[in-house]
Amino acid sequence: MGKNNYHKRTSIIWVRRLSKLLVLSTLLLIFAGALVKSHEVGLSVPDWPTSYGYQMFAFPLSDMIGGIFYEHGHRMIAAIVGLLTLILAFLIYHTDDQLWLKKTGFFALGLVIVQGLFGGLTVLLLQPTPISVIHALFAQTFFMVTILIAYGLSDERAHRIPYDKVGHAGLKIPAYWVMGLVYIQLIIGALMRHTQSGLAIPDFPLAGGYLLPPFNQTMLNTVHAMQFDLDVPFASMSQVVVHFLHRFGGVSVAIAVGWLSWKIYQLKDSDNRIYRQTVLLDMLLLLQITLGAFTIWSLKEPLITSIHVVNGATILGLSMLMVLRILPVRLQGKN
Amino acid sequence: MVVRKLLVQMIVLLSAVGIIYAGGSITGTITFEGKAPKMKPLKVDADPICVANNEIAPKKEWLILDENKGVKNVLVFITEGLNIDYSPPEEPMVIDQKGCIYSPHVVGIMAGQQLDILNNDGTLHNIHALPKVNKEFNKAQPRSKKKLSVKFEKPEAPFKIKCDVHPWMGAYIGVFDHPCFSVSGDDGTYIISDLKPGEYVIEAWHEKLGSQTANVTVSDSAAHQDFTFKKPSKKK
Repeated sequence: MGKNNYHKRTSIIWVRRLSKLLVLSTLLLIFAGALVKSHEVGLSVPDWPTSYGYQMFAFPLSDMIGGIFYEHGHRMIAAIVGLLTLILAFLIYHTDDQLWLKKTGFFALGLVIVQGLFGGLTVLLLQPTPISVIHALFAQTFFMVTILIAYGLSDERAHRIPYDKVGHAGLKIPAYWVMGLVYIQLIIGALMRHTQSGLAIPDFPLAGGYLLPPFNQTMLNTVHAMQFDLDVPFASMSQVVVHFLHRFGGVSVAIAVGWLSWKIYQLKDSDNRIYRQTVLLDMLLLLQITLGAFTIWSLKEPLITSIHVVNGATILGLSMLMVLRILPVRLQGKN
Repeated sequence: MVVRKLLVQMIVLLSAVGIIYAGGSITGTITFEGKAPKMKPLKVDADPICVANNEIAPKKEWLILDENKGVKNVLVFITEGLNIDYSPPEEPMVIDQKGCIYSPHVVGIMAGQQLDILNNDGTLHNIHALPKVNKEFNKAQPRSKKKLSVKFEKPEAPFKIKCDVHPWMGAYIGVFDHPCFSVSGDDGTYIISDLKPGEYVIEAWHEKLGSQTANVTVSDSAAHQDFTFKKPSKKK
């Protein structure tokens, strides 16, 4: 009996570690995907699931040149994330007692398979915008699911008392707003990137020379003049609008995070974890705004742009974790 | 460059004195007005072979001007006024990839004409064509495949081809149902020849500065039509 308990505890610890590894691997995968898009090399490997006719891990390293390095590297990391998800889903199924978590494990497996298929379709259909945007969106959604699984398996959650911290009730609404707005902001970000609108407004903090852009022909002419001087492609008005929506989304997220932070900093008996997480969220938000500005000022330097994307995903993950920590433990239990 | 300019001047002169009767032509010069940005060097170091195949670091090619601000790589073509059915020529149009740069940067071909894309780089390329009317494709061209041949069956406004392995590589192709097109040379001059006398609409297309059209009357002598592209201006 004691031996069985020991084995079970050991396996739980390893499943927890695996779930955390999956979260970090997914973040790395999002970064790799961002590098592919930032370098505009998504079609540098024209075939899928093979790479220039080679099986995934048989592709010669000597041919990992130019865009292939990023695209094939992205595929390899994706395969590893898929494998980790598969292992985790089956380990949860065999070691955990929570039905919802077992279901979530297999949901994540299904999601990562669908995501892989969308990645393949993006290549085979030559990057149609809707599929590329869905591929980017699923990446963020999958990342949220990995956090949900990791939290569900965590020691922290296992030791939470149902309906503890009544004081957190007032945080629910702002936490939902933050998570929802960050998710919407990432959708707009994906739309912006996949419609080539990242430099549709090439100046910051002004927009086409205006504080409040009028979205008329005069503004578009000014934008084109700037783009000509900066050696970036001319944008259409719809691209300008998409780009501006992303800036507007950034302001909305900042307001929501400010609201949530203000609420949490006011709580005297706030959970120390939540307090620390809020400080981190605020810091990452400041970093994100700075990265957004430098993305424009550097004319979308690929590394800066990719860090901006992965930092956005991290903010989404933190806001998801915040919701999980604030919510009463309704998922607790064995059903 | 000088030879081309002399040729244009000779055609104008000869046709003016009535020596040329074989067919009319349209000649002209494309110029740029405004302060032009300097073309930045291309970063080709993502592939060591691309670096090795370039003796001098290549520069961007979207606005190449001569000392008189003549614009290179403007595709000039007839859009209206031709009432003849043309067949595509037998000989293929050729685009070479050398030093991980497309040469020429802008080409016109006829619908149905073969386009040979050469790989003289000894590295791996992919050919990704982005037409809207013809079918988009993305084909691998490993170092062993020295020539890749394609055809575009329908006339289409200029579109881009690119290599995603080397994302700085880009060229433009215009597909026509006639052979009456020309790409401006180093000094910005162009010649469209073998035209019957008549009224024509011609278009000058530049990859960044857009398009301009003009009505031109061709008689037995050479007609002349210049185009001036301007730098976009702010808040107007």
